[in-house]
Amino acid sequence: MSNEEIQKNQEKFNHKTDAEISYDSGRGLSEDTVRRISEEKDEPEWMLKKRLEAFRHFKRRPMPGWGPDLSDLDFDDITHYKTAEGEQADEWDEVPEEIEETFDKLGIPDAEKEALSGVGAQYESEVVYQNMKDEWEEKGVIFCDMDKAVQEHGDLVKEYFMNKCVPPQDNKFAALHGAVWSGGSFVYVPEGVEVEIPVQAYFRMNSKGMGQFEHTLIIAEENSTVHYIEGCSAPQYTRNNLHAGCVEVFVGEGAHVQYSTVQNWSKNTYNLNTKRAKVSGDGTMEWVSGSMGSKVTMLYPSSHLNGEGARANHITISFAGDGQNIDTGAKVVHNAPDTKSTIESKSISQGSGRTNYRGLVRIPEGASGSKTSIECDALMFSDEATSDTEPYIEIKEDDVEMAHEATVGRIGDEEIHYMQSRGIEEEEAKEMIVRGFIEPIAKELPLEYAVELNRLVQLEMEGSLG
Amino acid sequence: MIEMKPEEIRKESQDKIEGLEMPESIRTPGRTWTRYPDDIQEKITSSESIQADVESEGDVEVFTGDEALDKAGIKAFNLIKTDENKLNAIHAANINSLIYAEASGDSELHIEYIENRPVMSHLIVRANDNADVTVTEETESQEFNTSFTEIYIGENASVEYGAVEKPENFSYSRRKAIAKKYGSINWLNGMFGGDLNRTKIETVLKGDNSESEMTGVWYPIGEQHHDISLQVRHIGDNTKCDMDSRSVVDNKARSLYEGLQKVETSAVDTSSFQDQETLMLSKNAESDASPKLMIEDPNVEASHAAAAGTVEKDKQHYLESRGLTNEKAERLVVKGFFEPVMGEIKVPRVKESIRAEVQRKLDEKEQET
Repeated sequence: MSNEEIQKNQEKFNHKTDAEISYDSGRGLSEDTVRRISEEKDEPEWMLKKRLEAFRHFKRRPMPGWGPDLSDLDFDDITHYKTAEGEQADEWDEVPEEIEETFDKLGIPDAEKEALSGVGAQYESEVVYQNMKDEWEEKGVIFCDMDKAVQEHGDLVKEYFMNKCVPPQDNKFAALHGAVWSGGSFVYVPEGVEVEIPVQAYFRMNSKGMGQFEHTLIIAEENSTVHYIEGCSAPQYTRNNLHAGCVEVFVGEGAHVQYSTVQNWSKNTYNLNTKRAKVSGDGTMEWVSGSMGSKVTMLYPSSHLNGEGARANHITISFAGDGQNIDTGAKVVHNAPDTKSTIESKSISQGSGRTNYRGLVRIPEGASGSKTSIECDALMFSDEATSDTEPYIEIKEDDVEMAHEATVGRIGDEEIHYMQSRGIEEEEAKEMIVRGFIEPIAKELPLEYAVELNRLVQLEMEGSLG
Repeated sequence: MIEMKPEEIRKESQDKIEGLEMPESIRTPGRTWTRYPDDIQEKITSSESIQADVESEGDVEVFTGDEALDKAGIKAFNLIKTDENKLNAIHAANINSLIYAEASGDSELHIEYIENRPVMSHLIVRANDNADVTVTEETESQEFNTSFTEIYIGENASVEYGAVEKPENFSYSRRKAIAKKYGSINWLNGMFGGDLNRTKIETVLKGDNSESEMTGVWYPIGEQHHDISLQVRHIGDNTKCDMDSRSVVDNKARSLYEGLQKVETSAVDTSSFQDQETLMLSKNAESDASPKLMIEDPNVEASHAAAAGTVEKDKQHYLESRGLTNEKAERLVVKGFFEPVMGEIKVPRVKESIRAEVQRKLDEKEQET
């Protein structure tokens, strides 16, 4: 890639537009703000109650006593709710020009052209564009934004929303999320239906000092299949931004859900998410996460294997550049016999970047015949980079197989010298090594996504090397 | 650091007890791995001093009691602080056997406690430059024991350390060594006794080219709870550490393991390995493990591995097909499981002692069935 192209690409990812903001909850968070959000959305009473319950817990709950430094995070300095000018649009023509421009730079319409099955493009807190293939509707698949789901599929949402999977009491950021959540996607796949083409949604933060709290709820009924992809790319700003999203997944018996995400929040964002799946018998949950951006990321997708023969596969790749602290991991609870889990974590740190793997695998009594394998690899590019690996494994059953392996090392000078001797430039050689390193995640993603991931990594690499 | 008189250490530690917390334990959502009984402070006190059975050979000077503290000078409670946690302060306020040993050249030091009273022992070893020392501590108590060891390793000195613990109820061991350049320390710890056994062993590889092997073997049965941590800090250049531990857990017992390989910014060309394996013999047993890596310098070759599981069915079936009973097959598998670690043990008397303890635990099981 030439320098000019890189410049262009960086501009593209740092791009922001001046869309007008129609409602602004103001800075800071009070019970009044929570009530106003609910009122603005014309929500049913139960949702307001849920929000207030979450808000009260948020107030009481202390900050986590472990993990990355969050002392710069000031909840009073963050706007919790905004909508962009313009109502929900069904066609691209209706999308406001500035917003369309931003999406264009990220290539979303192209993705659409490539017949991606649905586009839920979230601009700030509201979904501004939703499209869905007719054939899905015929099959009974529901894919809509979360606010709409509250209005139109109230019973389903009420039963599942922050109730059986991630209650607001789960952690401080889940509580905050429960109080001020806005936007996100609702996916319902009926029994036996296969949604083969990835569902795509782009979440963006685009206003100074603004938080984003989108909620994604995926319900996959018995023997259904769905692959949901979420991508993030945020413009750069000076003040700390906060993203506290929540993802809840219900994998029915024999169902298969893959949730893939590549995030590239701007380097001042606190990315503190709660993602969890409940997996029924013979169901499979696959988490594929690529964490590139943000100032601090805390992301530990979790899988509760509640039925016999349930499986979870976690693939995590993180890339921490200068000043970034990417703290990721996984949590798997084997609650039933013959459940299986694999965790594969790969991290790269460079400059003063810091990567962390933090994971918990729990096999309680009764989960006989369970198997788990945990693999963590860390690559470091600079003398200031740091990397920690902190696995926790709890086993209360003898008939199990647990294997864990971790390695850490500097990118090999030998490998680079070898490649240089074959006429490959040092920078290119490093890139090739990195590409090989992230291959396991790239191959899980559709082509366009893999390309975007490679491009992000390339930008990160260039940024540090140049 | 100011030198302190024994009574000063006692008094000062006694005063600190109230304000200190119990040793840190790993917490995961909804769980704390080790909890200590509330009345532990009243439980662990000692009044009368006890006599160790000390055997020494070669160029080693051994001092006991107040004289030991006097000779140790600032080396007492320098590596391990009295105010690290409540148990350290309780130990410091109640030590009933204190030994200081200074070794040069080739030497051996063997310490043994066989008591029906509490053993609260504190050993400080100074291995002078080029010394080659073997140190063993075996503790058997009908009561509880606290066992502290501080080891200072001079340039090019090497220390082989072995400890076997078999107290009746509570056991708290805290050991730490610091090595100068080309120094080496090989730890071997066998933990067999104690309803509650908390052991933390730490190596500081401060000098360039210093190295350590940290080997642990434990075998909780019945309702025993063994909480073992092994830690290494790589500070000097070209330092090496190999941690290798194995545990067998049976009945309703719990095996807890925390391993930490820390490579600091100053440590270039480090190689650090960690391996922990657990064999689970009962449905009601529990094995928790947290092998950690903290790397601040990229010029490192570090890895760790952990595994847990039960007796492989095919192994057992094979042995049974050769006419062995189920129980005998299991005994063979247990012994075989420890063998790779036993092979690394260079101190014969410790090796024999550990084999005997493993045998004793297996016999206990046989009697039950």
